[in-house]
Amino acid sequence: MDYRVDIENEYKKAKSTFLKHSLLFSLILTLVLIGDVLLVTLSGENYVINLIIAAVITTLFSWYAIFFFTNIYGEINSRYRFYKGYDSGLKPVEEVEFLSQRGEILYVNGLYVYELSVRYFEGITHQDKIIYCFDKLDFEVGDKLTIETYQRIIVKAEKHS
Amino acid sequence: MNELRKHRIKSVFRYTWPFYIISGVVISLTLVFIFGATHRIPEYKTLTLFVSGEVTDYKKLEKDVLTRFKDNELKTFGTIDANPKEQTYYNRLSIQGYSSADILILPTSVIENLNLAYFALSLPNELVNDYYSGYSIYNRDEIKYGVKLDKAKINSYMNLPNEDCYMVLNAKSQNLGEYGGIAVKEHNNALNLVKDWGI
Repeated sequence: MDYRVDIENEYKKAKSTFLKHSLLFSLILTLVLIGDVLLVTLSGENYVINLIIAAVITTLFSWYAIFFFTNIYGEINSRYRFYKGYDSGLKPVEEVEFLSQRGEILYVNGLYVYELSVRYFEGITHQDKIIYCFDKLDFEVGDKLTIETYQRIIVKAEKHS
Repeated sequence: MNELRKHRIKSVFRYTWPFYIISGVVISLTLVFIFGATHRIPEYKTLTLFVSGEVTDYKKLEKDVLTRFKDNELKTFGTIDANPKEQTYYNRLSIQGYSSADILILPTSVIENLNLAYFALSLPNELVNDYYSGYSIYNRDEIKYGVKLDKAKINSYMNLPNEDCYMVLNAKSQNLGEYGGIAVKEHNNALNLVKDWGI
């Protein structure tokens, strides 16, 4: 019933994904540059075919680079930075009442999360807030929870008995 | 999550698609420039002839000259022709001839009106002895400037005015062997062509 994000494991996965994509991008970039240099230097007087090959390869790489930086990089970098900064970041632990959770997944600041609303108690007053969670939580409306959040994302939740 | 990712990629593509087109165009143009710049034919492998008359069979002339100097790395040959009777002749001579031509074929009536020291290579005695010994040389103020053209050798390529013509070497040419600005003995196609056609 309790919920916990395996930070260490997720950090390893995020780091591995980040490094894998970064290395792949650097490797392809290096190969394209070497290919272009070879095509330029090794071509003779009739260089049209080499020019076309170089243009096609470099254009395809540029499309991959645009796609990488507008779609993939933001996602893997946000996830990696989230887990990387976890140890040194603020992680408030608070008691809340579970109110509701949206069923569909959202993309917020580079992370795929579910949105849920909880009620914070401050003395005799209360305040409802939107926070996020990586997974769908299996709590019911009105459940009293002790939650630990990091960057407004729940990393630990325990239901009061 | 995959559906959301697909949707997000589509929505990102909606405002990034111009970058895909721009990158293709910019990369292609840049590569055309780089290939062009790195494969530019050096000036000593090109020869340009200014003809005071009309070139009648350019293809044959080009083919013969390129074949003749194939062993000396000549890659391109071009001509600029202008009729001395036309009003634009002196403009073409001064704009195209002085700046682009390696050899200028000039009739006597024209050559006498020109300031040869402005563009022509004055032929030192060593050059005359090496290449043009026994040839008819145009002199002005005891300075040698041009070699007389043997019209019989070029009749099949061009029509020239009915008077003596001289071949004058452009001092800017990079085909002047050790007598040019860069002074490489092997880059002497202009000197050799004048030798071939001279008398």
